[in-house]
Amino acid sequence: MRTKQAVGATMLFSIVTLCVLAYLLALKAVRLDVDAALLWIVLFFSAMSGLSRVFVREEEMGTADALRLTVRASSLLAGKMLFNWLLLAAIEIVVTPLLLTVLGASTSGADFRLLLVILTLGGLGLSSASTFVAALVAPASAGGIRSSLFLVAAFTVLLPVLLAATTGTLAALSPISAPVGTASNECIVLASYDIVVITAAFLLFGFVWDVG
Amino acid sequence: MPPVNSLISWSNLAKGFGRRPLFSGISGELAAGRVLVVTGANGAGKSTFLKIILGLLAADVGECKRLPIEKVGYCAPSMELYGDLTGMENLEFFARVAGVDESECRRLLDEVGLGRAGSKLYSSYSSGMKQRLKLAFALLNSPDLLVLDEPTLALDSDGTAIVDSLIARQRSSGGSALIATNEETEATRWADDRLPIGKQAW
Repeated sequence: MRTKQAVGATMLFSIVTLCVLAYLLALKAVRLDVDAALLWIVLFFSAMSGLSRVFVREEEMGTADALRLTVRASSLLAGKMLFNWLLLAAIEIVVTPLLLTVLGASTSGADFRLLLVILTLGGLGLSSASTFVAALVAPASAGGIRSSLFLVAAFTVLLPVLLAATTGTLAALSPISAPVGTASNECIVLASYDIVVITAAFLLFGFVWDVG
Repeated sequence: MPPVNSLISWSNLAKGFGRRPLFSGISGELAAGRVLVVTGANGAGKSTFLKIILGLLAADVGECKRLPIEKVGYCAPSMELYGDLTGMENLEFFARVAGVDESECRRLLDEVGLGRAGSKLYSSYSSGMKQRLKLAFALLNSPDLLVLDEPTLALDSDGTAIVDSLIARQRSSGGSALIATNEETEATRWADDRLPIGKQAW
């Protein structure tokens, strides 16, 4: 059910956003940097609508205690991260071609292999960081405090990956106009970000999850 | 480390929520192979105490020392299973993640009297059926330590008899149990040792 809710919420946001953009722009060509920014804005908000609820339901329903007593913290985090990454990857597969079509983006000179790498690394960073931030704020008892905490924490943690992913996407869509080396630099930034975030998450999650 | 033969020991435990103190100065131990019943009136802090012992909650003051207990079973009113899974799916899920043989799930469902209701959603269960499934969950890994918080809550007489037999079996198999109850009759039936917390209900 949580899976259905998460997929439903994220897909609904993506499709509605695409419909609104299609209606407003009516296949008018938009600058590539706007294409790249819009793509990651849609992915970001789609992800937030589903991923921010990770762990919260367990805390609210009381199933968190059952999990704490039966599942190792690292296994639980790995499972949640993997699910969220796959969910975001599914959204990327649906949204990216649709958005580029809706925006009338010229992809004649695009480097699709590079775009795939950027989407993979950016998606991994976005989903991993969101999962960990959601785990950090889930124990907060009040829903309002929890939401505020998530927004504040997510903004600072997710901004770097979104900036790098947007710049890298622009470079992948327009390799000729992008400065030489931009794409590879952004790939390195994204890969480094992913390694740091995932390592930090696994090192710290036990302290967050095991409260006793 | 806890004293020899002591599975868990705690000293000078205190816990409060906000400015409201719940309990303080609680010391004691749970010896291996014994059944310790925690008694007290509603709101005395029995459930909170059990959570502190399990490591699910941190005490404000005091120390709790546990031997490394690999297999712990827990059943409490505040703990829930997944409402969108059936009774059987819930047990199979937790068996899988805990590395327990999934064939145990059918036997446990039968043992708690849910053999025919295993394919129904947990969210559709009555309070008593939910309690029975939570008892099955607690027994999933053949626990060395069984922690039961008001285990007969919402149960009928058959369900209460099941709880009695579970506790008797835990004792006879050499396992330990930590149980919280409001009922004097239950405490009398189950307890090897008692730990009163706060004002007593009787």
